[in-house]
Amino acid sequence: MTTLLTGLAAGFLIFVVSSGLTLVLGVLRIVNFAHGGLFLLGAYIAYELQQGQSQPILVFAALVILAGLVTAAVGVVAERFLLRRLYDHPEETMLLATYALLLMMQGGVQMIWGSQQRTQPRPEDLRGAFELGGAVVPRYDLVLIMTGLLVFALLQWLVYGTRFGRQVIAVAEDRYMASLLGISISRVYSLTFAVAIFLAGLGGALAAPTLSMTPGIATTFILYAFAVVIIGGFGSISGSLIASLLLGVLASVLGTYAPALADFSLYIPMLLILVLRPQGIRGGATREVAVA
Amino acid sequence: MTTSRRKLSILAAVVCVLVLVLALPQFATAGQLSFAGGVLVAIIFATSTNLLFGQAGIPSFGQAGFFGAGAYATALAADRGAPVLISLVAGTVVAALVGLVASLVAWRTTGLAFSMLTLAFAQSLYTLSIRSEFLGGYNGLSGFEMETILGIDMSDPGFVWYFAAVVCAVVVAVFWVISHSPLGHILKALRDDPVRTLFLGINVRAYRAFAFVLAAAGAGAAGGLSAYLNQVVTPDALYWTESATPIMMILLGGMTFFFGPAVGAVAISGLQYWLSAWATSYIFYVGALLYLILVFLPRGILSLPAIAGRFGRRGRHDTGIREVL
Repeated sequence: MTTLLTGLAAGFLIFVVSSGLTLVLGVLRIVNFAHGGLFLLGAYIAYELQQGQSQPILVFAALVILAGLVTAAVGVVAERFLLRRLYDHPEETMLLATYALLLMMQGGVQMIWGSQQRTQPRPEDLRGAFELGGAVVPRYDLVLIMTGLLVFALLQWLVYGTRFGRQVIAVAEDRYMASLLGISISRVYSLTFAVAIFLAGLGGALAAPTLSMTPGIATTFILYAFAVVIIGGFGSISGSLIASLLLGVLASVLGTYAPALADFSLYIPMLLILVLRPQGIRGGATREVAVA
Repeated sequence: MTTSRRKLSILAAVVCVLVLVLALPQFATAGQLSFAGGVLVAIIFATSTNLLFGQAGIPSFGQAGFFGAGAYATALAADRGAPVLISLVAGTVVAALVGLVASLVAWRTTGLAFSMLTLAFAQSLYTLSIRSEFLGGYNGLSGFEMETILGIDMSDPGFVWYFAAVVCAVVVAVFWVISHSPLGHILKALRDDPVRTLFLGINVRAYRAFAFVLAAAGAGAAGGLSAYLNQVVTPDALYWTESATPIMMILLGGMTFFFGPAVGAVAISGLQYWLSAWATSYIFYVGALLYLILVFLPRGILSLPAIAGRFGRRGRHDTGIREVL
C-alpha cells in the first residue's frame, strides 16, 4: 500500500512535467528537449527563491508557483526569439534547436549555481508521514498527488472547456485550416508553449525537495517525460496521466520487490506498448504510422 | 569550376591530409596525439551516422548505443585474449547485431516517435551497462591487453596513431563506396519520397533497416577504436546525450556533403578541447554554437564556398517540400 502510494506520488510528479511535453508535441509538433532544461531551471529557481531553507507551507506554495511563472517567462522569451523563426524548418532542425537550448540551459545553470550537489529541504509542515489504513504515507507525497490531480483537472478544463482550448485542438488537427478560420497560429503556439513551460517549471519546483539537485537532472528527467509520451500517445493528456501513473507505480513496485529490474521500469512498458499498440494508450489515428 | 581544376583541388586536399597524418607524431606531444586519436574516432562516428541523417533521412537519436556496444564488445574480446584486429571486428559485428535488434523494435514508428524510440533503446543499453557486473558497472572495463598488432609492438604512440589513421581511412572508404553505390542511391530516393520509392517495387523497410544496421556497424567500429585508444570503456559513452554529438558534427560540417561530418568532427572536437580548457560550463557555448549554425548556416561549413561563390544572390533553397506557414 505504501509502495503503491509512493509510486502514485512519483507518477503524478512525472505527469506534471510530461503533460507539458505532450501538449507541445501534440500542438506544435515539436520534440522539445528544452523541456528538460526548463524543468531544471524551475528546480533551481525554486531553490533560489526559498534560499535553500525550509519555508512555511503557504510561502512554499506561493514560491513554487512563482518559480513556475519565472520559468514560463524565460521559456516564452526563448520561444519568441529563438524557436519561432525555425517553425517552418524540418522537424529534425527543430529537434536539434531545442537540444541546443537544453545544452544552453544546462550550461547556464552550471555557470550560475555550479555543478556541485544541492539539496532543498521540504517545508516544515510537510515533513514526516502519517498513517492511512495501515500504510505510512509521507505528507509530501500527498501534496504531489493533489497537485497532480489539480493540474490534470485544470488542463482538461483548459483544453476541452474553453474557447482557447477549442482553438488549440483546431490548430493541432490542421493548422492551415485553422489559420484560414482566423485563428492566430502564433498566438496559440505561444500560449500553449507558455502553459507547457509553466508546468515544466512547476514540476521542477515540486521535484526539488525530492531529489539532490545537479545540472544532470535535466537529462535524466526528460527521459521519463519522453517515455510517458510514447506510452500515453502523442498529444493526449489523459494518456499522459495513465502512462505517468503506470511508470511511477511500476518503478516503485519493482524497486521494492525486484530491485534488479527497477532501472528498466522505463523500458519494459515502452517495449510492450510498441508491440501491442504502437500509437500509444490514448493515441488516435493521427500518429504517423510507418510506411510499408 | 572545371573538372580538371576540381580534381586538382581534391588531390591537393588529399596530399595535405596525408602529410599531416604522417608528420603528426614528429611534432605532437603524447597528449595531443591521444586527442587527435579521439578526433579520428569522431570522424568514423559522424561519417557513419550521416548514412542515416544525410543519405537515408532516418533521424536516429540512439547512435551512442551502438558506439557503446562496439566499445564494450571490443574490450571484452581483448580481455579474453583476442588479437586487436579481431577485437575491433568483433565490436563492429556486435554493434551491427544490436542495430538489427533496435531496428526491429523501432521500425513500428517513423518520424519523431522513431527518434524518441531509438533514444530510449540506447538509454536502456546504458542502464544495462551500469547494472551489469559482467560489464563492470559504473566503472566500466579497463586493463585489457592490446599491446601488439600483427606481431608489431605498439608501445610507441606514433604507431598507435598510424594504426588509428588506417582504421579510420578504411571505415570512411567503406562508407564512401556505400554512399556512391546503387544502395546509396536507393537510400536517397527513399529519403526524398518513401511512398514513390515503394511504388517502384523497392522494399523500403528492408532498405531502411539495412542502412540502420550499416550505420550501427560504423558506430561500433568507432566505439571499438575508442576502446583500443583509451584502454578503458565506461557507461558514459552510452548516455543519450552522446548520441547528439555526431549529429552536431554532421550539421556543422554539412550533411549533404560526404566529408561534411568529418569536417564537423574535427571542428567540434577541437572546439570542445579548446573550450573545456578555459570554460567550466562549456556545454553552454556548444549549445549556443549549435543554435547559431542551425539558423545561419543550415547547410554546414562545406556550403561556405558555394555561398561565397554565389555572393550577392540568394542561396539555393532546401529541396524538401515545405508546408504553408
